[in-house]
Amino acid sequence: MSRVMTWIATIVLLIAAGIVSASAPAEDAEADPFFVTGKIGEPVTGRDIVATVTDARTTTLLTAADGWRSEANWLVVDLEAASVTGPLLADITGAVSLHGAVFVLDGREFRASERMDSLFGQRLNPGVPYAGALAFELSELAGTGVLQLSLTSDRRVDSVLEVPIDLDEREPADELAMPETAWAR
Amino acid sequence: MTGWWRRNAVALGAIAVLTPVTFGAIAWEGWQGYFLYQNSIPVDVAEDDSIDLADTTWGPIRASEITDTTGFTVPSDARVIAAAIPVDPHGELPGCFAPTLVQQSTGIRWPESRFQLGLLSSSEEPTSCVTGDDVPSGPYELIVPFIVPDDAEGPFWVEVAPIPAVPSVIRFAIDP
Repeated sequence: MSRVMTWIATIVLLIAAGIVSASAPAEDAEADPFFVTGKIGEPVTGRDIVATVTDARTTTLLTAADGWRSEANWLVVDLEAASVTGPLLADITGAVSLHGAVFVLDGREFRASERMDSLFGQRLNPGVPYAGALAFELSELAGTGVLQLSLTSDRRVDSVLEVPIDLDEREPADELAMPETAWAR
Repeated sequence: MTGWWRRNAVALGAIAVLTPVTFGAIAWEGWQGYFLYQNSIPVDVAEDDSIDLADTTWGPIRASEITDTTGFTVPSDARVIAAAIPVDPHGELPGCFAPTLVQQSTGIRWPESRFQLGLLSSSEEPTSCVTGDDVPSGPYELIVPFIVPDDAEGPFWVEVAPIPAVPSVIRFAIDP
């Protein structure tokens, strides 16, 4: 092989190696969740969770039926949620629950509040949805964030439902009462 | 060539044995949790039949759709299927998970939903196996209601998983 051909082959191989290296997925990519993106008012369906966000409201004073109240920046997301298949094998509860609920705003993750009764942790029934709400205590009621829902907080290799919510277009109410969880229909 | 095969007969024999054993061991390592510690092996019970498992006789099951749901909190797009499973422990009372309802065509699994119907738990109508010393050890019945969507059609299985019988799970066929 001539000296020129050797140089060309070297450069081609280096470029190829660079492309492979740059396009390779991250080391933990094999555990990535499967994101399913939808919008308010539409059912969003994952592997074993289906949810419809029916409304998203903001307030600076949130109350609950048991007399609990809190003055803060609250986002209240009204939704219906059900499971799709239920657990594969009989296990101790025989059911899955809504234990992953996060609102991502400016790269920060706000978990759904557990300070009042809500849909957080609710057992889900296949095909028969519950209606209720999730509440998020935010640093500010501005910007656009993304609601992320999953069955467990360990979201590896499972569905995560995503619904973008624009906070700027919502006028905070003086006071909101947390809706109670009930069958949706 | 014959000479080469004969000279290496022992090594070749070892390869022939060790290769499948290696793959078998790797597969078992990966699957043993599934087969040993979960309710992964169904034991089918025919209609009107019972089964002896974990020193207890289970069945025969009775199941029907509850049409009079007055006083229950039932969603308008759903129906209630209830199952009664006679349990006759011969010795120590076996614990079990609350039975689940599985649609045979899809594998969709519904949980026991007594509380969700607005009913309080009752020792007269237990939804999971009676255990402990402070209870009568005679025969009793598990009474379990399920809330399924209107369009979910049978046949179903009711699965009962006695804890001492893991990984076996009793599977009663029903078509209410």
